[in-house]
Amino acid sequence: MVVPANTSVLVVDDSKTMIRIVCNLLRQIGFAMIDEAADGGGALGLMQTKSYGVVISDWNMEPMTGLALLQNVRANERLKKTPFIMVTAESAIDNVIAAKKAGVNDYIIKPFNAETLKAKLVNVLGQF
Amino acid sequence: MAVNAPLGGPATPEALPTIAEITRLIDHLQQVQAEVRNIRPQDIGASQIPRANDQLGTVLQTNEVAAGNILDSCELLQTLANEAPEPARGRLLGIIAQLFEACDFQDLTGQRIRLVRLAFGNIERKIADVSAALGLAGGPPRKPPQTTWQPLAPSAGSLLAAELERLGACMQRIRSEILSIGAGAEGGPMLREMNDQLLAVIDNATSSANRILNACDKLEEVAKLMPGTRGRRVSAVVARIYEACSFQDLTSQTIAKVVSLLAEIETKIDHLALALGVHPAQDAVPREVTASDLIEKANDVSLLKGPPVAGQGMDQSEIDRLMKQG
Repeated sequence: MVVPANTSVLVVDDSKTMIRIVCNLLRQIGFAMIDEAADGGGALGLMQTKSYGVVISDWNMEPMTGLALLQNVRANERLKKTPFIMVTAESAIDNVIAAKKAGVNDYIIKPFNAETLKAKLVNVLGQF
Repeated sequence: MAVNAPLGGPATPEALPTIAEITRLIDHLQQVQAEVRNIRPQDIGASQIPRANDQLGTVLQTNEVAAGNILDSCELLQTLANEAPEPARGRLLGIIAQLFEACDFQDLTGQRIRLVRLAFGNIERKIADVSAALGLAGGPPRKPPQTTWQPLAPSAGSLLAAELERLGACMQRIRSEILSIGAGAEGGPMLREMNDQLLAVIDNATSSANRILNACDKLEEVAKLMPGTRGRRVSAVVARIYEACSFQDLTSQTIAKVVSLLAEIETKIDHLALALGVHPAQDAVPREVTASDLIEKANDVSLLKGPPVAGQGMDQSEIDRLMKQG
């Protein structure tokens, strides 16, 4: 399995533990270029300065939620095609529909494992 | 509430029924006030909720430290794995991935506790409102004001009727507040939701600790296959992980205390409802959920549900099916 060397990933979560878990799992899968942000606002700031191959974001963050980040990304001409995976504990159908309508590419429910994360990345980025 | 406002004096005959009615209402309110004073609802906000919040803070801290220690150990193991020959390297990396996954307990616990704390804050505000409305906002019971009998003016009948209406509205508001204390975001029982979230914290911690300990057993097996200092270094890291797993015991014990405090709060609220003649099961009115509610909820962190408790929410396969639909 070879991950394109130029595929950079932005991981957005307000939990330092989750950031560490996701980043380490991504490294094990083979990603090397990984950036982190603690909320939607921080992520948008990073996205203004760098292009990302995929964004993996939690939903439940303040002040800008993952859903608001997704809406901002989809509303931005330059960023709108960036693949976006929501990783969240919010499993209510209303939330999943809201994320889908906002243009999320895939949705991972916490708790998750490395296999699920990899399957969703393959789904979004294509086989690697 | 002006339940002890001076009333009296020679009354006009047409005012007598109104005076009788307001006197009956004042007697009733004073009786309710005495019963509620004995229940001491103000203790919920003054003592029980702060104690519960302190305990929850301890759980958050314990879990954060434990997750940090386990993740530090995982990163150390990764370094050791990268130096190890195959097949030990591959086996170690697989076990490390399992350990990383198991550390999500810290995030899930944090989210569940945040929801419980929000609910506690909500209860605290409502109890403060009810206590203030019943004249129990703190300090010793107030003495009724000195009554000075004045002749009743001709317009007193209509003034008394207005006062009667105001007192009735006030009682209705207090009953509504009590009723709403028990109602959760979806109109279900809030205290039950809080209890379920707390029990789910214990379940998560137990499940994660078991997964971590199972991974440790496998690490020990791999360590035995690694010659020299490498094997001993892996065993030393495993010992650190075992130590960090004490979070499960501390979490379970502390959450059990919060569950017990929640039961005390629930008992007080039940007694309060009884004293005020509120019957939550019969009086609750299901709230209609509108489209704007859903949109607001989706973007409002305080309205998110957090991790589902057992039997609720969609699982990954259901979500995958929904995502594939057009």
